[in-house]
Amino acid sequence: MKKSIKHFAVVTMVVAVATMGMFMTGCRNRNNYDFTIGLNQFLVFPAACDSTEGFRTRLTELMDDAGYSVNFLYQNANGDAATATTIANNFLAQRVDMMFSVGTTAVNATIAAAAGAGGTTPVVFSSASNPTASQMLHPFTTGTSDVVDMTAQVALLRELVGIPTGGFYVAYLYSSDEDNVRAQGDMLVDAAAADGITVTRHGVTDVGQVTTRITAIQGNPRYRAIFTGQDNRLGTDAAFQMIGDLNANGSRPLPIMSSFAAKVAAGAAVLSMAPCYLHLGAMTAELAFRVLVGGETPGDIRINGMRYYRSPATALDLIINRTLAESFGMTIPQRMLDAATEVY
Amino acid sequence: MSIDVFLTSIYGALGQGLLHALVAIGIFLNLRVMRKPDLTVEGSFAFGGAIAMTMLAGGSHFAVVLMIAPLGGAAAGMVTGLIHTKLKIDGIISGLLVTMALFSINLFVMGSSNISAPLDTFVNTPIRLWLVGLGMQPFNALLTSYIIVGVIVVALVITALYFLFRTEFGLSIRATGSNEYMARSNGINTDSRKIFVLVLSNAIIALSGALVVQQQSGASVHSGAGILVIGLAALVIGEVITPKKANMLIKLLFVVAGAFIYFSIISVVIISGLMSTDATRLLAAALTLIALCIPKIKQLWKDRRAYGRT
Repeated sequence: MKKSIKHFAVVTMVVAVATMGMFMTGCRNRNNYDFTIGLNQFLVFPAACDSTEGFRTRLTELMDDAGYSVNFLYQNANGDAATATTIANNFLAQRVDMMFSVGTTAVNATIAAAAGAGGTTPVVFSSASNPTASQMLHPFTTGTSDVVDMTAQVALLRELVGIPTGGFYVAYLYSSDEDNVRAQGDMLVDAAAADGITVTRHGVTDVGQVTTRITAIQGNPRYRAIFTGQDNRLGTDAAFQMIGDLNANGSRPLPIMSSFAAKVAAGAAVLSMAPCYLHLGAMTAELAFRVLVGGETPGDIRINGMRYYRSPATALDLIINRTLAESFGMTIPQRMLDAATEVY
Repeated sequence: MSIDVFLTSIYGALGQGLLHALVAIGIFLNLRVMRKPDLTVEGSFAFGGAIAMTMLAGGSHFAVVLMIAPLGGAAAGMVTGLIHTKLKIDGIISGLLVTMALFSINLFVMGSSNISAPLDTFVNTPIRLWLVGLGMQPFNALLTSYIIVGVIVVALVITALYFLFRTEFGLSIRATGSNEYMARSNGINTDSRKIFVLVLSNAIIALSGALVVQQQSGASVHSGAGILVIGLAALVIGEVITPKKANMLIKLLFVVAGAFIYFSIISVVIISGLMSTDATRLLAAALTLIALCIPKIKQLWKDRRAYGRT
């Protein structure tokens, strides 16, 4: 027993020396800025990266104009919840002036750490799908939500398909284990039902299942379009390219309406009316500026009676891929082309 | 970065290490005592977290939650055990099957893929408020409260295991792990011992899941992803530093130390900015590999000393 205590002491010493060594090499001076902001991003994903980028760019601009300097500490948890907690704790230990977070799990971890620390460090979140249900609203938090108005999306679908009145079928393709796309699906189904359109859910838990889904959808003549949500699994470039290829080379190509503008540009989807995440990030930066420089309490900032920005029409981009639509033998109505932010 | 930032970072790692140490203990029971790998870990961890967060969101008291969540893990372990022993399916396959099934069950339990509960319902709240009442700075109180929760839970689990393995039943479990055929020829029902260890280890892992999701303030269906590697790394790091002639108690304590070291290293690497967080998984894998290699290197060193240069 005595020997093991001695052993334990030696081991502790070695570990202490090793970590001290890392600490010494990692020493940096971060105190020359007016504001230091910790960015806790859950994973590398276009929407999340754009939100962070939009936030960083806009806040730097605002701070420059006001004559302040700002420093960003960027950390990405790589989809690991334990790392998200470590990052939040480290930011608090470094006494950052504010924490920015994107991705539900990282936002929750950041808020939990900040709340436990007394709620003195403000937290701003960006592009959250449901801030209320995810327990994100506290006196020290504010942010933006990427929830979009589904009624407008349904009207757009109807115009795209070219059936002015009466019912038709739309397939909603999504990852059934992602919270926001499930919620988005519910809203889409309700909004479509009000307009007489039937939306059926086609959930997958693996990218590989998309093949059977697309084949089944194309094989059923009732379907006139495919709608894909703000999906982290199907939204990756590789997965979406696969969806586009399967659809274009299938027995009956259908117009795909995506929630990501980039998929239209890449030629995988015909149309998208989606939040511009750079814009949402920039809006989050404006909230952050009001808190840091304006001295406002985050929880008191209310827009339209809500404690967070809900993605407004100004933050939505309508992107159309005319070439792809024409290769399917479809014509896009001129009114839509006029209203589009960009046409390929 | 000043010295207190560094120390706070290590201090935070202590809390995370203690809560994740339970996973390493669960893996220890399977891999070292029973000498059979079990892949139910990631499923039962997420299952424990899912049950805990759903109950907390529904208004249950954390004490009740921490008793129910392990039962979920125990049930998962029971299913794996029954598939393995009664249907004679390979242990790894049965663990995988249960983990796959638990993915859907977790979605069913939570009703969505992410769920959170109000922060003041969590297990650390009374301790945190008490520490703040004593005049401790809130952030230190937060970190300390999880360390206290971790110490209490880990101490309870280790004490229970220590006494369990001293009983005749406990010894029969170790005998089954050491030599199944010999144990059976001595009249031990090896199937029941195997099932028991799977039930026990997965209950402990689910308890860890229930605590960790509270620290992270939210459960997700992906909570369990990567947890097997974290637990295994903690176990292996702990074993490398364990003295040679250690009894069960010392072994378990060093497993806990291994979890702390794992999280300290990750935390210090992140805060020092030496490596991007993109590299943390690579670092974890490298750490585990080094820990696995150390005994081999020690042996080489010894051989060299004994036989001289050749």
